[in-house]
Amino acid sequence: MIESLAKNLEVWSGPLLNGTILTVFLTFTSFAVGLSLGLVLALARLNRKLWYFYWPAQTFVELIRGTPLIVQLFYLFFVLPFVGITMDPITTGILGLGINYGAYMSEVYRGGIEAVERGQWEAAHALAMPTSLIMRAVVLPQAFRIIIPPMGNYFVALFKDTAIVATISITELLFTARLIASQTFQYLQVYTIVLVIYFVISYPASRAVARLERYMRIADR
Amino acid sequence: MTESPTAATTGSRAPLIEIREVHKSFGTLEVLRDVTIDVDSGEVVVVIGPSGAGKTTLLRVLNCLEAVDAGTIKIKGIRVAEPGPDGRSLRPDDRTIRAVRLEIGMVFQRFNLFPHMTVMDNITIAPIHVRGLDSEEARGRATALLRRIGLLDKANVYPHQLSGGQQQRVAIARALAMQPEAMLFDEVTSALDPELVGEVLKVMRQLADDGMTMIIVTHEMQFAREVADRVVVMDAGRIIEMGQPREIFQAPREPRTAEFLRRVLVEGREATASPAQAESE
Repeated sequence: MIESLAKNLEVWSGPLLNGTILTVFLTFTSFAVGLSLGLVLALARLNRKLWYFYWPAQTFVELIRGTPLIVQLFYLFFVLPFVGITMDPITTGILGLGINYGAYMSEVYRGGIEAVERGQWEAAHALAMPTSLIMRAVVLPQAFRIIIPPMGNYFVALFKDTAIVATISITELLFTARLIASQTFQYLQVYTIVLVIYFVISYPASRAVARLERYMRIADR
Repeated sequence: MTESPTAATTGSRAPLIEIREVHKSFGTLEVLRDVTIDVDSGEVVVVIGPSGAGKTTLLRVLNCLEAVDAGTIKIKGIRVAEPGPDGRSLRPDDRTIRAVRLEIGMVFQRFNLFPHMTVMDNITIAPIHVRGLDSEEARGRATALLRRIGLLDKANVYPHQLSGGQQQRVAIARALAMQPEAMLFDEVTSALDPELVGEVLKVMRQLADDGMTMIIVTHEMQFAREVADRVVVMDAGRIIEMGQPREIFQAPREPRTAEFLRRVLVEGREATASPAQAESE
């Protein structure tokens, strides 16, 4: 058993490593998409009076949060080609994950922005600073600090959720494993290895986020 | 020198700040009732009165942090509030609001320095991005101000590294860096430990001596007496009395003023000893 595992690993390590690299790549890129989209959505939803920003963003967030991620992916992958939009699987995966996470992250941004003291706005207003400058120079830098820990948690969650894009034939870690397993019938070994790989990456990452959170709390006194 | 003819004609010129019959309510609570004051250029007006008298709200409507419900406010000719066709005040547009805020600096009870910026950046951000100064000029201006408030060596530290008194002096410098025509002070020593009050009042006294137009809300009666050209007493949203500090403090006409002063001056020692307590009353 151990011997066969060692031998199999030798054969599998190449593809599994490639799969892992792609998984990590998907995590970073879709996280970047989520961070950017989330910020735009949060800003659009800040002021109800600017309804032409507010309502589209609000509707979009509710739609995304009210439907399953995997259905959204299928939609991007299988339905968009019918209206003439064809993207390669990896782009689709990055967009799908990024959009889904962006909707959730916009809530985090909003919480962070609202957590900045009202006195900061007032002081900046009293200096005749326009709202866009206040947001950029005063409020967002403070909000970013507040949201680093929750965003870190989303990052770890996203890393694990990338497995879902195996369903649209992206050869990331899970898809690679499924290929190997279906060729060799070594389900026990292959999927155990995959679990271990996910865990050894996500566990240290989530510990790091927890430490960061504690550190930020101490820094705030 | 060139200012002396201006000073001589001050009486006939329009006041810098004109407040006429201003009303303001929060829901059913009337916080300002029929408030009318003129403030001339260079004048130091101190507003006193019990908590909830509307003093802070009066300052806040002047730089549009609150809108008024009725009445007229003109600042250096800019109409901040005037009655609309239905008698209620029109809301000023964004350009008016910003124009007014360029004329008026404000210092808050809780400092409200930007915690993620150094002292220098706190002072230069608005001059650079709002007044359009280049960064060298803004830094020069900030340096001069820091020297004036005695904090030149703190230019590159962050607000949390400063004492409350130092933070408040920086907040004053930050407002002054915009070179406003007038300054509003909203209980700026109330959140300070007693031993730090003096250094802030000293800066304000200098400013008054330099001829800055100031409206000061404070519980520091001794300071009010020394620095005020005119004292305004408010109670329950109204101005109940207005006059020279000597008149108000020594021979108030209004019984409520006398009552307020007696309370503050008798409890005054305690109040000075623990401003936090006075605040919570």
